[in-house]
Amino acid sequence: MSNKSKNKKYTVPKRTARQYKTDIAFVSSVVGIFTLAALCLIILPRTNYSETERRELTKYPEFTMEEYFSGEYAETVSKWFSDTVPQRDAIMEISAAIQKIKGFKQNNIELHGVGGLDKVDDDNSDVSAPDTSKPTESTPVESQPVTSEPIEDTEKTSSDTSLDTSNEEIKDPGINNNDPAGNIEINNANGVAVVGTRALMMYGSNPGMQVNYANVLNKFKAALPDVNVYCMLVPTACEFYSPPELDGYHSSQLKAINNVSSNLVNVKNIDVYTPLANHVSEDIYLRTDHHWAPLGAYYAAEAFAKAAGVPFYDLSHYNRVVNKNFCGSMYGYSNYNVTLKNNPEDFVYYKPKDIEYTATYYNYMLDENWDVVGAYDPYDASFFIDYGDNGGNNYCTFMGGDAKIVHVKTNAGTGRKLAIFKDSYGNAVPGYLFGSFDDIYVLDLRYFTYNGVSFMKKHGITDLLFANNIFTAGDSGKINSYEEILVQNDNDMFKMYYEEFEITNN
Amino acid sequence: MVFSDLFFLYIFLPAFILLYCISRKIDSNIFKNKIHSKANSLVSNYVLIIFSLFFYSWGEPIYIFLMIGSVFVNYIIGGLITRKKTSSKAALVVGLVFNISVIGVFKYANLLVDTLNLFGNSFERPISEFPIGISFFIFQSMSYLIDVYRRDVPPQRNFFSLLLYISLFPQLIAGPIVRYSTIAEEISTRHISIGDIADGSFRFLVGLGKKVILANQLSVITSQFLDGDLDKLSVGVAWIALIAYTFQIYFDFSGYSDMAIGLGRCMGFHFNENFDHPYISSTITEFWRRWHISLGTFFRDYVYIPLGGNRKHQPFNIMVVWFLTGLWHGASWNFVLWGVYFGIIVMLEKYTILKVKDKIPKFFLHIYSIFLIVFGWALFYFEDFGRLGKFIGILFGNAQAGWDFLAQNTLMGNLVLLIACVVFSLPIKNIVSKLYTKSLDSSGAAGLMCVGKVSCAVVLLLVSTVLLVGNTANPFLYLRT
Repeated sequence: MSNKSKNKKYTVPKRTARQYKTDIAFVSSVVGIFTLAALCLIILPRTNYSETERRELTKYPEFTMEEYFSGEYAETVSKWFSDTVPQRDAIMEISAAIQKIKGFKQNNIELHGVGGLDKVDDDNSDVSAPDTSKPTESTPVESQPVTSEPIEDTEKTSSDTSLDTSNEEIKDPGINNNDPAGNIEINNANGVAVVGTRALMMYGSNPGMQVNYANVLNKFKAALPDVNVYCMLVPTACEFYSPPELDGYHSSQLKAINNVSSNLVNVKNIDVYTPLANHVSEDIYLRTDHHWAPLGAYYAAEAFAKAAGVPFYDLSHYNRVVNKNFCGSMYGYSNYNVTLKNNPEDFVYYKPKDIEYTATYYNYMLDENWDVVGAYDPYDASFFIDYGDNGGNNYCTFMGGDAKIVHVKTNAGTGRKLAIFKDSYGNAVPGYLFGSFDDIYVLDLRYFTYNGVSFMKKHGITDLLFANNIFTAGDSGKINSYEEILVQNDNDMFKMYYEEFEITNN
Repeated sequence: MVFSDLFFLYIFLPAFILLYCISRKIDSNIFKNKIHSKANSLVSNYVLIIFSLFFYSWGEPIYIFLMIGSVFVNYIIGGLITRKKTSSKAALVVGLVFNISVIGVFKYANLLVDTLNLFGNSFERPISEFPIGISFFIFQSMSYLIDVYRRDVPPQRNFFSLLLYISLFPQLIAGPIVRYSTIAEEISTRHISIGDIADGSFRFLVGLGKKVILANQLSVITSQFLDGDLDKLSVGVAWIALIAYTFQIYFDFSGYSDMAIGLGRCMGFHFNENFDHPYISSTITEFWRRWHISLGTFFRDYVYIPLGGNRKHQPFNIMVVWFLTGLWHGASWNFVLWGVYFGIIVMLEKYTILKVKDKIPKFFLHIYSIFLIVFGWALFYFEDFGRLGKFIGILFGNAQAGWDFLAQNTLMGNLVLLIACVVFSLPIKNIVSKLYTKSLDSSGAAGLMCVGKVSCAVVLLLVSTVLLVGNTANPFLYLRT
């Protein structure tokens, strides 16, 4: 059989005059709309920064022969074009609204990236066998836009020492949320469930890693035998607000916390689980953000002060500040869940009324990979930075973010000096302790360029608190950071301020 | 570059349309006075070539030279085939060996190395990634040589015309496999009517919608469950994910073919259809007449029939064709397994179902076919046999749970999408176009239909555009074929 017979030559079909007319009408309308859309995309100013995803969008690449022949150049140009469309955040909202049409909510729960039943919980047999590699089980979540690019650090704009609580000073408070905690936490997560109007990051336990976490804290204690070392592991909202339908899709955080505490040697465990569990009916967690609410941190700080045997001021000593219409990070993490956007919440925090303090900021300068590359001039400012209504980054109220060391000097007169080694959950705690310790050093485990042990000794620290959320205790990256801090040398990059540092402290 | 990319849609395409229109105008001036020449395309062909090469080089800045080089070799050999009758067979053999070597080295050398390494060797993989669309342009080159050898078409005297045939950007990287004989004449002489543009642009938008609105949404389900930790899946979730993949691959690939056919049409080329509602098939034999038609006919005309077709050792011929069909889809043994799986079914059908087909209720035949097709996609999806085995186990009950909340939630959360997929797998196009033709009898109905068609087109365009914003990775599944 020859293929000649099958390849009918195309013959122009007869089209009637009416058909001709409708064709003309069709083509001109479509071409018109297409041209309009093209002009909008080409002419209107491009978006460079996404408020919702809190990241710098793809930049137009520089042309080099090497980049071109590797195909990188073309790929980045395409990416740039679709990433930076005019009015990006608004269009992404429309996109999410369109995608919502694809189905119905089941039991008022929407799942984003939840990969399946979690078996780890039943499998505590390997508790004693710490593993060094964690399974990459959440690839789909990793591909969410939120995690793809770090945000530029911000403190570049805030090197002037006049920074005070009015956020007018800060050009873009959004950028100030330099919080890669989100990056790492979401990698560890088993996806996001939006239950009613509350977003929950599903927790996946890693018992072996929890032992590693306990061990690194033990090493700090061993190196600092005279210092009181505390472990505060904060459960996340998923533990308290997951409905029974989600059983099996997240692990027990209580088990994880108990696993860590049972492996601690001479490190005091601060039980914040119980006080938080006792107050679940209050707004102790943010619904639209992956952090807890400042009120939750209050109960945790209370438990800590009690355990440390220091005085503690109750909420009557604080002014309650309310930021309306807050929609936090979970909107981005859930791939623009419309329910969250339509149900913003109040961000409520507490500023000390009559407790005096000075907070000195030592800000790090970061490069685009979030690596510390330098430092800014230290300056004094309020511990609290108000982000106002309608925000998305209000959790940065505490010190404006993470990439810094903040030294708070108070009139507590207790003779105790506290260092808090924390992730972003820990940011909300020190604000309640200004009447409890004479000095408080807030140190972030991801941005710390000194030797952890000599730092504590140098500054006469009496109490060292590790305040992290439970995801951190399963995160090899963060545990390694602590391991490094134990052994690393003081970084010269800070030499210029180092003397001042010491003067401040003595 | 891919079609479902804002850069293609709103930068490349407008630039191309503009220059193509201008070049057509120039062409019509050039050929106006040449009454004796049948041809009417010259400048427009160069515009097409330049844009096509740019299109390909955007994703393959190095392998573009391989593509051009291979076209050149085929051009020379095409000429040799017709030069002398005595040596034409030898020239054809040389040409086929050349093409098979190119695809063998650039696509299958890694598979060979991996397979040898399984037996204790440790060779390095020679190619990091194989050239996009190599399976398509090499197969088109072979079709050219064979058609010329069979005297179905004269060889192309102009190198650039042959380059245009191979590199033509609508069909370059993911098919359909356009035979040289199909568009040989249109390379030099083509007419574009307003009807072509209306039909072609609508077809393109339908394809875009299939890809962006259906396939890309389904990919959220498939990548989440099929690429993740299989141990976590319940039976229900596994089936939902596999069914989602079944629709994803259909709308992805047929969407691409629609876009290619539509674009070609707007430029004055008429490619053959590549899909004919494959999921309504009542037998697997029928399925393969409706799925990726240009590949099926390629193997039928260039392999199956020359081997002897159904006249001698038919079972052997069938198995060769299906082995090759499987292998064509990817350089991994699971594709071969997938091909052979269908080969065996088709062969069994010949002796069983096809003989009694009319006596079995259609409904049962559909269930039978759909089950085998869906299951087949599992073989197609997992290149890792360990994961494939585990997944098949889960499909048939070896899982933590049968039906769990996640299955329920995923099903409900995508119910409208899945129903839409079922509906658009049915031949509703035929019904609608019948209605459309009928409406042309009265001006009122025609106006109404036109408004409807415009609305559809605009919705498809705008919704696809919105969904593509920020979506930076949505390659076609068949791109690396």
